[in-house]
Amino acid sequence: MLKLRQLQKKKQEDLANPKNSTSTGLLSQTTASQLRLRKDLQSLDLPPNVKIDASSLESDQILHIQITPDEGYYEGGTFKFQAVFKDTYPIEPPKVTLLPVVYHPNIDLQGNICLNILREDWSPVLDVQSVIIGLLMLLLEPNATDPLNKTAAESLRTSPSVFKDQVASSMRGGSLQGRRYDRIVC
Amino acid sequence: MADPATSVLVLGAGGLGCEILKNLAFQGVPTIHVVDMDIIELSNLNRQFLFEEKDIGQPKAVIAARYINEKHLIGLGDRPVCVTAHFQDLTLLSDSFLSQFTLIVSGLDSIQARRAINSRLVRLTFDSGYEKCIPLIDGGSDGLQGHCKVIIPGFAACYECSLATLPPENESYPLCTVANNPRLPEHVIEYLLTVQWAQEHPDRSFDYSVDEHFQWLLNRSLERAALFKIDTSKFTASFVLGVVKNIVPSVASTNAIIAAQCCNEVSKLMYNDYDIETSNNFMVYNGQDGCFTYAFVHERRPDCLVCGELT
Repeated sequence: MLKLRQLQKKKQEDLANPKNSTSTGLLSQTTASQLRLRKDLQSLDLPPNVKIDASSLESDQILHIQITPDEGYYEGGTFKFQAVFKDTYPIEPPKVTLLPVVYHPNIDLQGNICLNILREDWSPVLDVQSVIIGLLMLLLEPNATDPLNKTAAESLRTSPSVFKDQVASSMRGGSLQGRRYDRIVC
Repeated sequence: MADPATSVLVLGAGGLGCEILKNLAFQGVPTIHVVDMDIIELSNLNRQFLFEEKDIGQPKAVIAARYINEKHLIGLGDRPVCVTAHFQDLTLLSDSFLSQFTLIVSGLDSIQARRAINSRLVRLTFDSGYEKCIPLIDGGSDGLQGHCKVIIPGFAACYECSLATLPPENESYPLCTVANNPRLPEHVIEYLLTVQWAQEHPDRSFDYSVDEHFQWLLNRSLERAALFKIDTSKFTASFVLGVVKNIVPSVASTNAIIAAQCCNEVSKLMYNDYDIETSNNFMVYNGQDGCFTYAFVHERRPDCLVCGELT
């Protein structure tokens, strides 16, 4: 252990010399996952149509994300997502759900979302920014080959123009196949 | 010569912990403490060789310490090897308790526990202005694979620095496959746990140790498997429980190899044969295809959330 003790001594001397002192600071008691989340939020670079609300992040570890696509099938709708971060973040992805009931091929009626980076392709190098970009992509480009809502996917595949009308009507709070959707346009 | 006052804290007295304790005792470390909050179960006995059938239900740390103490080994400086047991949660250990040790060796099964002890030790180094520095040697084993990381808090890469290299903890499947096109029994179980349970029981979370919940899972998996023409004969209670708990069988030989490597690192540190700046601090082992090991220097991340100097 001698070598280590020598290194420690050298470092202590460096610190005692004010010229070389780097501020190591006291690390707070917050958990590593909270530190990481704060860093994620500081480095966010969001387009103007995305808003986040981090007010219940420290208390409940919930981040609210609101996306209003400015083009595509879902243009003009306001999509409120909820992302729950556990202490295991970033080893495990946040659990993201869509709060309103929406007609979308990759989102089911309970708000579960089929997005690869939120499940099988998650990696700890991904962050809040990547999650938001992923959600934005899903709204801009719904994907009919990997359906979670089969009827929506079928409709998008067979007739994009019918699908477009269905989406517009569902976003205004209309019913499709006897199922009411939430109004998300004003 | 190594200092006979060397004291080592062992975290975990399970598969790796038993091997580590045995090695350290034979290496002659006179003062060994062991912390573990688990109780001995029948399924531990094939590899956790410090325990016998009559010990089932007893705390692992206590029985492991007693077994080694009964051997009356003589260690460095002719001091008797003495193991002290702590039957408790390691995250509740106090800083003053941790400070008394020269080295800490861990054989834990949880990433959270490792992150907790890692950040404690880094903070200890920083808060003491580098006067204190307790190296952490972290062993890990998972089936036929394992790792050994040497962490010199404040001087070399810490556990958090290498967090991004970890594989995902649970196997997960695309939600769309699981929902609409399940092909594997695992897909069926995953759907029931992530989607159907919440639909049928929005007020409760699933707990496999509750009979009623587990029975629900078994019955529903059979129904869903039949619906998608998946072989229902696989859905035995033990198979379903294995999937739910994400069980990877523990392999005794992996534990032995990883524990040996950890104790090698202890020797290198004790006998001044470890160069903090240049020694390989990260070793991986893979016994899946032949016997593969590789060691390298994992560098410190300047922006590490625990040991980075930006915080």
